[in-house]
Amino acid sequence: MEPELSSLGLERAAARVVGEYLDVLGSHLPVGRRARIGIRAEIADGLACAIEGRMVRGEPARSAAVAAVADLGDPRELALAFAGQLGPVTAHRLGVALVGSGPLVGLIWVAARSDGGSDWPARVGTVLAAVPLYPPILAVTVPAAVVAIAGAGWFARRRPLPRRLVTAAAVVAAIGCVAGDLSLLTAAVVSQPVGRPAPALVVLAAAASVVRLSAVSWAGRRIVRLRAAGC
Amino acid sequence: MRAEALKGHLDGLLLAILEAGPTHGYAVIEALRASSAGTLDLPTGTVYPALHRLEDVGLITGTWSSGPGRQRRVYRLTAAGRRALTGHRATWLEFATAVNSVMNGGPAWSPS
Repeated sequence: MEPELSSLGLERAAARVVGEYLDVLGSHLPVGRRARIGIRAEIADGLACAIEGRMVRGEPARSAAVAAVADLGDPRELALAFAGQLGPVTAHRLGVALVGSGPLVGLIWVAARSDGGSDWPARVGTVLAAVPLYPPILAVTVPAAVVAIAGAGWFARRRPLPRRLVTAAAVVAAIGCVAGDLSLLTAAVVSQPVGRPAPALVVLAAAASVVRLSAVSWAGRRIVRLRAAGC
Repeated sequence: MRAEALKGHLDGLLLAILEAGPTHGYAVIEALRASSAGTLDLPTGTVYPALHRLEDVGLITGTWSSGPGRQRRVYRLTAAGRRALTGHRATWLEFATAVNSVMNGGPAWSPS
């Protein structure tokens, strides 16, 4: 018996029914390992409470467990219901991460452009001139990230947005971020003279972009999975 | 009562249950059932995702209880949750007064 089930203190017959339910639920939850463990533990506790209540009223362990899982409903539908709640939160976190990391990564790229002199507005202009795709990418990505942020937290309490809109905005923001970072990296590679080592700040900026686009790709794929599950 | 009949009111009901103090998911379901003398006997699976949604928007917070035995997620109302509950109560009172008036064939209802 899994530790999660043994800690419930249920009779073996009831634990088997609960275990089967949790396995189906877990396999249909399009979420990360940590969230899956949390949801499983919470549902396991609820089922154990329901089973104990029924057994106190005289039901045998197995029939109490069967009734408890029936009351909870189809595990696949429950998984979908949880996925529906998780989509906007994941989108919100991605939006916050993008809006938070954007200025930092951008600042490193601007600092890395030594050909703009000490005048920072001129440096910004140099970066944007070197990557002409970047302004239109920003024009799409930033508003999309803001909509994704509005999917949960303070904004959602005041004006809830449709889940599909929020998750779609997050996907757009993720694609925009990846496209933006790739265009910055491409411009850096193209402008780098052959045979000369890249300046430390360019290496740092490139590393920041690679880390960010990897993390955003991973989060974006998760949101796509949540959307595929109906969120 | 079917879950669809509570559409729009489930959040207020859950917040009202948690107003009494921190509690876990199954106890919320039991309190809902007991407070309504069994009328609000919702499918258990309706309540857990709703609690997660309320947590996501900051109306409640969930923490894992520590100590021996099985893990238990305990929910408590936040300050924003208390304010939202006040709003839910006002909305419900207005709605219930209007429906009662119509159902009982009273005079035309006008908003206060």
